[in-house]
Amino acid sequence: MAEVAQPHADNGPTIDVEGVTHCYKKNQPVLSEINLSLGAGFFGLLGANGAGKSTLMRIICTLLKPTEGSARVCGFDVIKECHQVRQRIGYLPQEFGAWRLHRVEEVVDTLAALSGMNKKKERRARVAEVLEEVGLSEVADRKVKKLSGGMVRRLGVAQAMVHNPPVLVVDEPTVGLDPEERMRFRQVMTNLGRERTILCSTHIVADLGSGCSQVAIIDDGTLAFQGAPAKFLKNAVGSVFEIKVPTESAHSIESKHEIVSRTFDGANVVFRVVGKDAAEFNTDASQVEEPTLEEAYLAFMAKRGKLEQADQTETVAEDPKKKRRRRKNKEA
Amino acid sequence: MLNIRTLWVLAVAEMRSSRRLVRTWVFIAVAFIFCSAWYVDMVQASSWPFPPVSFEDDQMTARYTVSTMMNGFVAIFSIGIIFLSFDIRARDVQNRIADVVDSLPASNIEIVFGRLAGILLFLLIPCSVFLVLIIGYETVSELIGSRFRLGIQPMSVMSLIAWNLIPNLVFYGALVVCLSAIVRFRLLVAVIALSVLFGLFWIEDQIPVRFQESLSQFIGGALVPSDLAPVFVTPAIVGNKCAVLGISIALLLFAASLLARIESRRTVNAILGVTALSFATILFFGLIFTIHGTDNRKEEWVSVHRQHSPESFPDIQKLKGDIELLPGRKITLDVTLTVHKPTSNTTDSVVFSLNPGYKIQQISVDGEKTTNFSFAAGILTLPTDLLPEVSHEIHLQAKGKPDDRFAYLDQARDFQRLPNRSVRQLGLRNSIFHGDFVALMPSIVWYPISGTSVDRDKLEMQQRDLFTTDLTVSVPKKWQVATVGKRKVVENQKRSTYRFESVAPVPEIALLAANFEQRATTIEGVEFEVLFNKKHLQNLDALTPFASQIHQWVAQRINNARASSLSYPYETFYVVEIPSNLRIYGGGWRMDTVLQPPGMMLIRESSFPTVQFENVVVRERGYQWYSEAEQDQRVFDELVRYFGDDLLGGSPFAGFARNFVSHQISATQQGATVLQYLLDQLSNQLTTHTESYSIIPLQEFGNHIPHLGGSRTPDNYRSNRATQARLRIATLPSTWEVMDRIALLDLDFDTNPIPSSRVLLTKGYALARSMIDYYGVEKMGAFLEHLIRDYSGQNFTIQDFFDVASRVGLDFDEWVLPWLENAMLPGYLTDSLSVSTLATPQTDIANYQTSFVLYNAEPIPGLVRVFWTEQHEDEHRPGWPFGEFSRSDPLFFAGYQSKRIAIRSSNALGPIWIEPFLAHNRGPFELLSPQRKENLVQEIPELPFATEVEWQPPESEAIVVDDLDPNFSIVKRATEVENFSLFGTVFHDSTDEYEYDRGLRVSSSIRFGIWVRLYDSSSFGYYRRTSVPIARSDQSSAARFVAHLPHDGSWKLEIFVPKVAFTQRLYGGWYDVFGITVGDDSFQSRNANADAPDEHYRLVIKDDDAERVEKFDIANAKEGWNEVGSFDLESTEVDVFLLDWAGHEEIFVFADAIRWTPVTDRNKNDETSL
Repeated sequence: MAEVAQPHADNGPTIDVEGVTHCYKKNQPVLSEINLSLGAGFFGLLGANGAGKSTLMRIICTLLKPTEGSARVCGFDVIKECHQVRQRIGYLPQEFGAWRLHRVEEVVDTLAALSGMNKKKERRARVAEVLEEVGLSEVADRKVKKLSGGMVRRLGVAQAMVHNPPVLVVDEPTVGLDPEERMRFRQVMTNLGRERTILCSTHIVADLGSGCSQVAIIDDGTLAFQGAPAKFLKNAVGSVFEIKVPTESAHSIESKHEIVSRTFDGANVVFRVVGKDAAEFNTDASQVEEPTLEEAYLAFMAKRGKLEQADQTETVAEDPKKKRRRRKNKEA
Repeated sequence: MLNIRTLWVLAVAEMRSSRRLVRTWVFIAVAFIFCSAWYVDMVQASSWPFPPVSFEDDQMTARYTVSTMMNGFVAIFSIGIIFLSFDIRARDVQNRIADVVDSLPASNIEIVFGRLAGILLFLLIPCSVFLVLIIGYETVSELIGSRFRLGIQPMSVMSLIAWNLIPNLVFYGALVVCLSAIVRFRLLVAVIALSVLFGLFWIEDQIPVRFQESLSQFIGGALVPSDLAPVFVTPAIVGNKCAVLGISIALLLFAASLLARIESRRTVNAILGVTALSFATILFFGLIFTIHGTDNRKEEWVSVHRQHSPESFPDIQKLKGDIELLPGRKITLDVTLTVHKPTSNTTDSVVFSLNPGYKIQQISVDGEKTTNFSFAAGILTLPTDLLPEVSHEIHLQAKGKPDDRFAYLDQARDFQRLPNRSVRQLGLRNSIFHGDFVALMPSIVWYPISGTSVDRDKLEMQQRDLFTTDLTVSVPKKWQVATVGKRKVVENQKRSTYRFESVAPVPEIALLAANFEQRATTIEGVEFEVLFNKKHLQNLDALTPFASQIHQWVAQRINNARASSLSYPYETFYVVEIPSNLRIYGGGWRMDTVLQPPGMMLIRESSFPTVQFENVVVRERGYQWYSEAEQDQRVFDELVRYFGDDLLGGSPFAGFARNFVSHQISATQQGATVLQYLLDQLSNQLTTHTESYSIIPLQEFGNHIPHLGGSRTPDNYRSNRATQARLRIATLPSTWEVMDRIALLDLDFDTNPIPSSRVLLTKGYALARSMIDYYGVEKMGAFLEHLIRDYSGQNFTIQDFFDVASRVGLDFDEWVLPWLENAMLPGYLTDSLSVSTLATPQTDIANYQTSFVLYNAEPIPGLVRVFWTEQHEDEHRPGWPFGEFSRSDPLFFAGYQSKRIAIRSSNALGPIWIEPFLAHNRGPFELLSPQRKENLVQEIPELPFATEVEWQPPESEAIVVDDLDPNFSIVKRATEVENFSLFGTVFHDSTDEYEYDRGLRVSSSIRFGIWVRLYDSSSFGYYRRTSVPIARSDQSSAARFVAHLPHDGSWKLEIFVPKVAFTQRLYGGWYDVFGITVGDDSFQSRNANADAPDEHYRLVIKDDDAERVEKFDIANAKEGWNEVGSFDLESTEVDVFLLDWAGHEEIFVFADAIRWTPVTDRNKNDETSL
């Protein structure tokens, strides 16, 4: 793994968001008074659809000017010193494509060169390395238009990290990846996160994995939580329960309670549900002492009365395009 | 600000994208097809030495015009860059990589510049490939000796790339990039960009020539390439292209500023953009003001020069001295002027002109140095006190680089103010002072001349100064020099020094110098020296086998002159190749060619030196059915034709002839211009017998001179285009309008230059031709020789002119003077002819005698020639003017003189034509056809060819109304044919594009839908014969003949039907593209069908208040007069309307003449015809 490319301007937090508010339309803030301070590590950004995660990431990546507040990356203001910020970030947008007529290697090489990797030999080696890391070595000569959705996603990851930026901003990086790829991605992120800041927004809570050093939850444009995953999980204890019922009674549970997961145990079904306490369940319910991140997130949202929105957060990776289409259909 | 690496990475990425777009390859394929087609077309066009046929044509060989003609090439690639870059931003969005690119550490400027650079570089690849292919093809063709090539001039290609291609691509690319940053819809971006492109193309055509170098987007059009004096760049071009670059940078900076991407330098970019735009605007305005400054400077010069009176102009007798040329840098003059002080000097100073680019270092008068002189604005004045005697020697030393702007200070028309791009083909530089070539034209006053630099061709106002020369010219080693006089080598060591001495006087001197290839020969004692560029010898080599014909031809001309007692006075005649950019037309009212200075003829490099004459040789050698001698003759004829048709001067005909007479003497005072022109014409007709375009002043540039027909004779229908052009001018009603009013000596060339010069051309030519034909070559030659002998180097008046004539036994008072002093001309009438068998026929020679009377009905004398041909039974022969015609010698007719002409022939005669040299008849006219054998008058005695007789036109009671009479008009009517009663006002089709004769548009052919005046010899007319036909009318008009009869009562009405009314033919034409008719305005005429009830002319006779409609049976009509009927008229003013519809669209209506004859017992059966 290559060294991180660009130094900080100061010793402050790598990403420092202060009072950021953003409105696409007047008086309809998408982000409201966001304060966020991140150092090195893998940082998970959770939130329902439309919560403002991508907007925040676009602000951090100098693509959007916040209506109010300021954001600094590596000590540089994202507006006034956008050039310095851009030198220090790698960005994978939520909807990433690439020049369709270029080959995979050409795309990564071009973007690496534009990111400041001037030495051709080193750049070539790094491109090969990163393509290997994301599993695209085999298709390095293939044109982008001939790649599958997952491959394009991996290409996005490759281009974001090819120049070893100190800050990596990845928006829905695992969408479209198969489980194996997702696992590998988690591993890569974990490794990268040791020496840099990775801000990762995802629908797939599980993808944050064990490497995640901090999570933040954005809800309705506000920062609802920021802290270590352990703290987040601890907060969920007492809100997640396990219920074991016969298969024929499963329907009554499903219709009344928010199900996190279900497993079949012979003639019984074991549900994990979110609730305030065990008493609200008519049947035997045992408190889960070690809830998962996903369960913790649902529990957190349930507490805020936003369980329905939280539900929209995917637990299974889904192609963003399909997701958009499905959402449209649903709205229709 | 700009990281080159980033730019390059972006450019490479963009090139990659462009390369892989399908539309790119479609575009490249289309561009290659178009460009290849252009190239092939250009090669074909330049394969044969076609001389230019019109001022509007592209006059140059393609070799020199690649940069101009390839504007289409540039336009295609400009469109290409629009279509490659119009979605430059949208493509990123579509590919969902816009956010990634926007988050990269590249600045907006780098993004827009880099991506544009990518597209630009990519587009330059096919451009370069195309050009390399052409150059490669050209090189291979040259190596293998193929003639199917252009021989592209390298500077032309460089100019194309550097000044046309790259700047335009950068500009349009920047425009699109800027638009795509502002406009979201990419289609709209393309539409706007294309609109700008076509808009700028339109503006390009509106830019006056003088601004083209500074403002044109296609500089190649303004910069005429040259092998002789190549110019790749000028300050104006640099300014222009810097301004375009400034605009392009401004557009890119605006694009960077407006790009939807966070950028801390947005404002800076916008400010820089505004700065760049301001810089470009200031630059453009600076260039415009510079040109205006030149104009103002010229106006100041003119103003200063006009302040000096001709009374202060000395008479330079001789110009002697040394001239040192450091080409491109400076000229050193060390000359001595032998001057006579002005004879009637009332001013306190004498005035000379000298180019203001010089600095005068020293002046001495008769060996005494003086500082008592002034030199400003090109005027050198010396106090008269310094010149107390009649003759003095003024020694002048000056150094400097002549100011090219100081030339042609007065000119009738400033072509460079026209937007017509063809103007540049007349040359833009007044002189050439280039490191490789020097052309010092008299106009820039590179040596001191007497008087001012304005009004020099107003001979009536100021005398032309004539002087002898003895000049020693020093040039770089191996350079050749041409000026007036024989060259003698003085030194050929470090520099080449030559001496030129001319004992014969000259009015001006041109000096040309370069490292020429020299070819010399002596013909009939005159040394001919051809000085061509070393790269342009192919035609000289190709024509070497025809040298003997050329020698003979030239020898014939010199001998023609000798037979007229004229000799070439300057020992050597130089034929010098000049750069195409040298201006070929002069100033003053006439704007005469400047390619014929004394002692030499200048040929533009784009004409004979580089046309592919070797193709003619090869072609003719391929015609095996001709003998070798015939082949040689055909090649030679082509050569003569080429020079005769050379529209842009450089013709050996007029130029060579001027040396014999008109360069040595000069007319002055009243009629001087006319006399000087007459001398030109006389010397040309006596020596070369051929006209060239040099006879037509270049002030005619851009004027459409239509062919109106009716002027050709068998002598001139095969003549060159110069003669055809003169004949066209001679047929124009506008020429006659002036000629009928103003005498030659009264022409005002200054106020009314074009009509006056047209009259001079027409009448001056006819007068010169008449003088030679009437007095004979020998006598006219003797006259000119005496004139030169008596007035060599001096000015003569019209009285001197007549005195010399009388001394050699010529009575010019008899008719030359009336022609000069009067606007009147002769006018000829004929009576009907008769054919007889001879009483004592000479076997095998003449059995028939055809006679007729020819009468000059005007007081002015004139000359005519009679043409006839014998009629052979059952033999179809081409008619006038194409057939073989016998012709008479010129016949002189005094005023009101009539002669009986008798032509003896073995067969009865066919058509007989009379060709007046110049008369009110305005052209040749045909006699009525002779009667056939069975109608012959029997047995008359043999008559001489011409016998003076007493004859007057027979008096007649008939009232004739012809289409040229004031009582003839075309009227519009408001109602249907059969309900004919109301007529509107007189109808005039008025546009300025056409020639009008008595209110009607003149046409050489019948037009459908409109009445036109047709010049047709078969029509009726007193002097000139015209009719007014109409085809396919919309039944809305009629021809009106108003007759004022002496009394009412019974009158017979006849209508004249010209022969042309019975001609069945196809008019108009159609247009084919690849064999497919895309436009057809042809229409057929036929004779009326006697069985068709509707096919007849419709006449309405309006007598007092009564109207009657009459049918005229055109189907059974005959040529000439046809009776309509007899009518009892109640009034003396009778209108006859001939309607425009004859029952079918293929039957045309001809309004020519009507005749009313009183019906009495005496003339009831009279068959009178005029």
